[in-house]
Amino acid sequence: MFAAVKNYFSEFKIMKTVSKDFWMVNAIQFFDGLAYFSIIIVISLYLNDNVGFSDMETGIWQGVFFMFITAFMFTVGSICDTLGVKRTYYIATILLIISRLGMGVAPELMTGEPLKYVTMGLLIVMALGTATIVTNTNAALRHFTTPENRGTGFNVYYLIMNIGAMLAGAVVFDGFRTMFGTVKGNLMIFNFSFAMTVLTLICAVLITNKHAEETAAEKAADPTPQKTPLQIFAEVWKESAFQKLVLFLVLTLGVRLVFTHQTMVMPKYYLRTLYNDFELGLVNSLNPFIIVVGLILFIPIINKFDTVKLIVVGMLISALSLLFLAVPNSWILAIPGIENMNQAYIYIIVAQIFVFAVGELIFSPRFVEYTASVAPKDKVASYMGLSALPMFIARPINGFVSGILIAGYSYEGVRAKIDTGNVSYMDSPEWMWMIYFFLAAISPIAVILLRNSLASTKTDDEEKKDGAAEAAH
Amino acid sequence: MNKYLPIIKDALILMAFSSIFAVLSIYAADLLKGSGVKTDPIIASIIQNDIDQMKKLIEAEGGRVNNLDEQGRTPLMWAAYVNYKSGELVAKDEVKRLEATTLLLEKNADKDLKDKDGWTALLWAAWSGFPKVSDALIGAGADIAVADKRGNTALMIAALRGNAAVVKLLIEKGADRTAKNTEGKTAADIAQEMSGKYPDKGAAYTEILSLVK
Repeated sequence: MFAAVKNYFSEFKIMKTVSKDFWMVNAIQFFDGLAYFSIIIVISLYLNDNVGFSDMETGIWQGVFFMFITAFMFTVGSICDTLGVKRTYYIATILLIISRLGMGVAPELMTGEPLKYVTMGLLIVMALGTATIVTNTNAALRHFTTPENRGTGFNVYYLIMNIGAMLAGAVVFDGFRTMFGTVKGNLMIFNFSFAMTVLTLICAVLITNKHAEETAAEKAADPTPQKTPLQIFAEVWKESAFQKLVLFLVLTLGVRLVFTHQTMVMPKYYLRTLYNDFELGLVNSLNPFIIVVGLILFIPIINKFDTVKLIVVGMLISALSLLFLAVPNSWILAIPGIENMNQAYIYIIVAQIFVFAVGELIFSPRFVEYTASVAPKDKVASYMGLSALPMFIARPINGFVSGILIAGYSYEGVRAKIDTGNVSYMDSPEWMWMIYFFLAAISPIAVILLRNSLASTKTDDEEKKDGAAEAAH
Repeated sequence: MNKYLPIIKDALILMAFSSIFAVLSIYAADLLKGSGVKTDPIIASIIQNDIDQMKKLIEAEGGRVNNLDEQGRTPLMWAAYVNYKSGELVAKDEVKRLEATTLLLEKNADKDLKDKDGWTALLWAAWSGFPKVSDALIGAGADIAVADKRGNTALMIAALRGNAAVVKLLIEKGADRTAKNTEGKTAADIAQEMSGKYPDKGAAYTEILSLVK
């Protein structure tokens, strides 16, 4: 284990060769990550309690928000390429400053319908800012590293992002809600995020742009002019490899949507089945913690196995994690050492997060690998870009679904009804998770059933050759 | 200028696309308005403990004080509800919720309306641990003997949650200690059962048992 840790960090020595700008980009990632992850945890509670959205409206608008992030990410690439790293950062941070500050102060200045419409507008601005900063950071990391230190550079970025996610939950979310109360605390989290975005802007100003190491040779190696996503889609949609990829992505939607539950459903579920002053940020931090530890210790071992098998196993583990939340709570109360309902809920919540993170650790990195393996060699980037399409369509639908389920099964006040025996299993939050479990379980089962066609990594040309050979035979 | 044209084109597509989707989402949410999925602004102001805003809304739309949410709950029930583990937070919120309750009662909010499980505002106040709100409701004539669909009275619910101050108030106001729920349990049975499960509230349950036995 010690060797694995030493091995992981030893490759970081190469980072001595990167420019100051690379570290500035990571500072941006840290501050913005802290702000983004804090907002992601609090947003459903903010829309409910501070803006006055119903559970249904909250679900819809969270779905819209995430859909816009995905949609904008398709297109802001060309903006980043044209304006350059520094100016794109200025645009992104200004959009984020306006939206985060606006969301922090708007509920203090207005109420009712005007507040709702202003919030909807700010959510769209924030989605545009988020998509721009994420896309630009990826471009900036390429820009400020060399081919030799790029891989490690991205590892550092991923590590910093997860550290930001951990601190956002355990320190920022819990800290502000404990200090300022559960309703006012939500606003303070947005104000904190605004302050972090100002720091991001300062870091962007400090980028010198002097050490761009993207060499002329690299640029010459990629002479393809930039295409819009629609142009790329028109080119590849008839290819069987692309259709295979889309089939795979659609089949795996069920379990991947469980990811979005962490932000759409979980915060309300935790607070409503436990209590409003529950430290859910700390619990949320478990996921990035497990991912970071797992990346360091287990990835070298996991990498030895076949991609599709790992995806199936990982998805199965993630889907099964929902069973902890789905079994009747009387079963959990029968476990020795669990005395009351609070302990039962904390037990199943922690168990689910842990098991889900293990599954995520196994299957999540494999998606990129699978996409790369299916794509023809000259179109890997295009396939990668389009691989977000199914999620883009599924997210708003999932927003609606989560809104309906939360309003029906995990509504505010449900704990009072559970305590007094007024909630049958079929009306309980546990049943809601059983529904999610069925949706998630479809993915690994479907992939197992269709594994032969999904496992094929042949391109159209190769398949044509095979077909011709068979005919000749 | 030419290099900015694709950006402007992309930006326009994004704006158009986002506007269409936003309008469709608002329309979809409005379609569901009739089925009670929109949060009543009065309830939203109660959740935010914004009593001034609540007053304004009630003055503007006086007839809305008995509007129901999707669970059949009125603003009065929402005023009587919080869910905190910390007693300090409960006590802090009760100050504002008492103001809201008093105002709603003044504006003729129905104190005995029941939600879909048969809970009245008094049952919510008993569960939340609000002795002052409970007192205001009882003072306004709320039925102290009312029981939910499972036969739980306010006394049983307060005993279950370890809310000793509410139990004390209800006993003083004449709540029936011998009443049984559909499982045949009295408030004392429930308190006894819970005292073993929540040792951190041991003192409260001991006090409750001394009051209800």
